[in-house]
Amino acid sequence: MNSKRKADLQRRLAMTSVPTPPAGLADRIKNEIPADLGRMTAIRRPARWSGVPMRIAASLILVVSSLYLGIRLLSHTPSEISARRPATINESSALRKSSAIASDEAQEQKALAASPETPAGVAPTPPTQAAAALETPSAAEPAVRLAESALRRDLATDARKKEKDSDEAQNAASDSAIAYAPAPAAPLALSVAPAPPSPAPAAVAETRIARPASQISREEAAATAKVAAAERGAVVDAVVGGVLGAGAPPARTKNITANAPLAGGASGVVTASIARSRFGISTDPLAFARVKEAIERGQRPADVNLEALVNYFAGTAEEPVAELTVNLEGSPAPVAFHELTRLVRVSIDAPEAFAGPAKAIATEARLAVEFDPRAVASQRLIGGEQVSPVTEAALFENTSVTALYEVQLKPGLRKRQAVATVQLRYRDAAGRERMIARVLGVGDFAQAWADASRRQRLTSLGAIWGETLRYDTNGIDVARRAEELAKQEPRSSKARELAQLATASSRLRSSGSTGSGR
Amino acid sequence: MRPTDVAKVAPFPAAATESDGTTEPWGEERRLIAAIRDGDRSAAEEMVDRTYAAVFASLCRLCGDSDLAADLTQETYQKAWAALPRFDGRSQLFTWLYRIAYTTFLNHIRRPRKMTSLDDEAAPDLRDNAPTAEEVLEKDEEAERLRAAVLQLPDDLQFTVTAHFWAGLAVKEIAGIENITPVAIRKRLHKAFTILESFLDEALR
Repeated sequence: MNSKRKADLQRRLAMTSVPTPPAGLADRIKNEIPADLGRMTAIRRPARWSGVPMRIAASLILVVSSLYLGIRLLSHTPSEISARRPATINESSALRKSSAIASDEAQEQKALAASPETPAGVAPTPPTQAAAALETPSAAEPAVRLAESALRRDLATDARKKEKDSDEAQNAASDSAIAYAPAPAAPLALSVAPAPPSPAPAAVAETRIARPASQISREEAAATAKVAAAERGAVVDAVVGGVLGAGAPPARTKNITANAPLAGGASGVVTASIARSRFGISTDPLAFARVKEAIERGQRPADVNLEALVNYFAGTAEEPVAELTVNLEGSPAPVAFHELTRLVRVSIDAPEAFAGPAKAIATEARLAVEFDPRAVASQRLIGGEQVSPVTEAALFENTSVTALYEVQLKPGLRKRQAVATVQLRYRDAAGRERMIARVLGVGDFAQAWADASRRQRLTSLGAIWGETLRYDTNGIDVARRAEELAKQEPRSSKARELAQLATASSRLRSSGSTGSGR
Repeated sequence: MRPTDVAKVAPFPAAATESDGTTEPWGEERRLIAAIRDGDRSAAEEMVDRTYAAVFASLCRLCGDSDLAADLTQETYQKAWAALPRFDGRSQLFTWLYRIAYTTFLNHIRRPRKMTSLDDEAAPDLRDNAPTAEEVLEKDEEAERLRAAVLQLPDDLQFTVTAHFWAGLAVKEIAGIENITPVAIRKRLHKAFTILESFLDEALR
């Protein structure tokens, strides 16, 4: 149905007459209010209801625990079981020294078995707008175990190259650091420090050897920061503190002054904890402010960080999430392009931390976004160079990252045809391998841009606005669309901001005088 | 991307209705419900005053008959008093009431009708109260066709359409009580429009 017909139908539905109730109806209803209202409403919940969910939960826990114990028993000999005991820190060191790092599944099982509280069951993934979710516990799915083995072999290769004395790493755990820099073209080189006392974190250290910041040479820090620093002029952000939040983690950030030379020879100052990028995607929180400042000065921004603008408008998940989630959504573009052009948003959201320092909830994260060539004629990452897969050393609470892709669909696709697949593999706080997979099919796309979620509409419109700034194209239609969006979402300050700035920027024309966008 | 042509930009849908007595600050609602649970009759009457008009209007749009809608409204509140202990407060009060009203309406139209013989002397006076031809012509035939088309929708789509357009519930609120995402609700609405269009086209032939 065309949009005009749809709008007409909506109008007719909304404009049906509002009948007034007959006289006396309210009194009749009030007369029927039970006299024993307090006694009736005192029955909070029928007993059967309070028992059912608890019984179901208990049954599930029992079944899954039994299944897990059975698998463990079947995979170990009696002698191994009797010799097994919780790993201490020293034993973890011995394991790391002697094991063929993570490529031997039997040793991985020992490390996992050493964890006293390996949880049973699979944490559910909140439903997403897009399509079926796949989550696999590390011990249950043969396909995932094969993939896990492959992943561990890759990690083992990296670890062997960088392996140092594990005792030093253990001793340095108290002041261990994660340092990472935006490196869009290569996997991140720096590792995650092990968190002591829990045996579960030892499993992490088995595959990645920690290197405190003090042991990272200036040249290495400069090399890893060089690419993104050259492009974005960012300083290296350092996060100091416990990785997995075991026990009482130290303060997440502190200022460290170092004279490590960065790109361009400028002396670098390692500062606060706000990450400038994740998975190689810029999340510079100052990018929008710079653009806004330039426009408010009546100047067209000279350099627009599109990735960061996408992330600014994407923000965090619309509803709070309880665990790491992948949100995949597709829709048409907000302004007219080719009829087969679509926008695909991939957002990774971490839970919020309401008190205390933000903890790392995932390590060794590896994100892969793939488009099915049977459905997609072409695609591009808006604002950046697409690299898949990309890795991130650690993901913390209170973080979100969004990538927006423009895709050109092929004609004549069936609704069930898959368009995009997203896989996020990581180690959770207990050191277990986890994977989240999302699939976006043709039928999952919003039929009209107006039908998409608020987050999708803001993100896509913000991205297109950013491109009108970057390429100095006429943004009047974008401004008009932004004003409509602001009216539809009156509570969204970002929608209002976008409308104001899009209107202002549409009046700016390139006159050779530009303000710094960075 | 080089946006140039805006000829095909789809307009935004009409804003969801608000401020028709159905929305209420959450804090005020919680206070009201707590008072009712404590047996405060005046709080129950206040709840009736705040919501009965909207419940009646929704039911009237559903059944097209104000007398029937009034009866169903009374029945709705009877059920609401009994169901109030199970109301967990996650949705707005009117949303919860509308759910009950809608179910009451469905139960009514699916209820088997009692047959009364016209030859029975004790039979009640069954005068033909059907509207006259003139009254029928005076009715909004288009609105009636639309209502009939809506009632032919599948249950999930019917509830979504009536809740959004005739009860004024926001997409997010409907998503909450249906336990699905707002995008799924929007998809339902879009699907419903497509079906309604075909129903209305057939009715005009």
